[in-house]
Amino acid sequence: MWNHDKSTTLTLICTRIAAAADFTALFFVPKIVDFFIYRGTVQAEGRMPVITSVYICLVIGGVILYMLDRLLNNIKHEDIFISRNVSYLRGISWACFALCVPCLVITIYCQTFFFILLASGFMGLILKVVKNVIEKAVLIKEENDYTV
Amino acid sequence: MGKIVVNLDVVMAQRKISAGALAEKVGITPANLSILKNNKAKAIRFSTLEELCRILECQPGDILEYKE
Repeated sequence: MWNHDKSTTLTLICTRIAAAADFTALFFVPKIVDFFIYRGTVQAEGRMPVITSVYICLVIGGVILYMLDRLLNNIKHEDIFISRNVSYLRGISWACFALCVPCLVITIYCQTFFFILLASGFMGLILKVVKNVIEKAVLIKEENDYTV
Repeated sequence: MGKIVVNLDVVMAQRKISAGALAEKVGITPANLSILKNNKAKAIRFSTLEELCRILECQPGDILEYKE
């Protein structure tokens, strides 16, 4: 039977697969960029800035995946409304905003990346709201726990 | 900024009642009584305060005090 625990475990597995993919991609960045230059998706003169930006994106992506993993682990252990989770959400939100910078550089040489830039910024904004909600919930829970 | 201080331990000492016995009579857990005694509580329910006052035969002002 499908339940909350299995759902969390599945999300955790997906996060770890994404982290493994992120790590593996680090070794093939030049080849991937060359492939897209060959296809004409990325302008050839932007090879080095795009490679550098993709590396930065992958590192930020790794940080996001690490924080997601920790967050999911806490949720799995029923530690949901705790200040550490608020910190993770804050970190993920800022990382999404930070992702916009390398995406902007890539957009100069590959216009379709503009949508990823937009998606990243929008995701950062949504997470900021979720972070604020959880932050308030932590305060309410704390007050409730310390009401005798 | 001032704060509310709980003088429960003083009243308990005057009435010679232990924490365990008071918690049982009031109907709260010893852990919650400890939170109250150690001034870690964020709020106190009227029902809890009423029970404390009834068992300790005192006024709310004997238990709670405002300090600058």
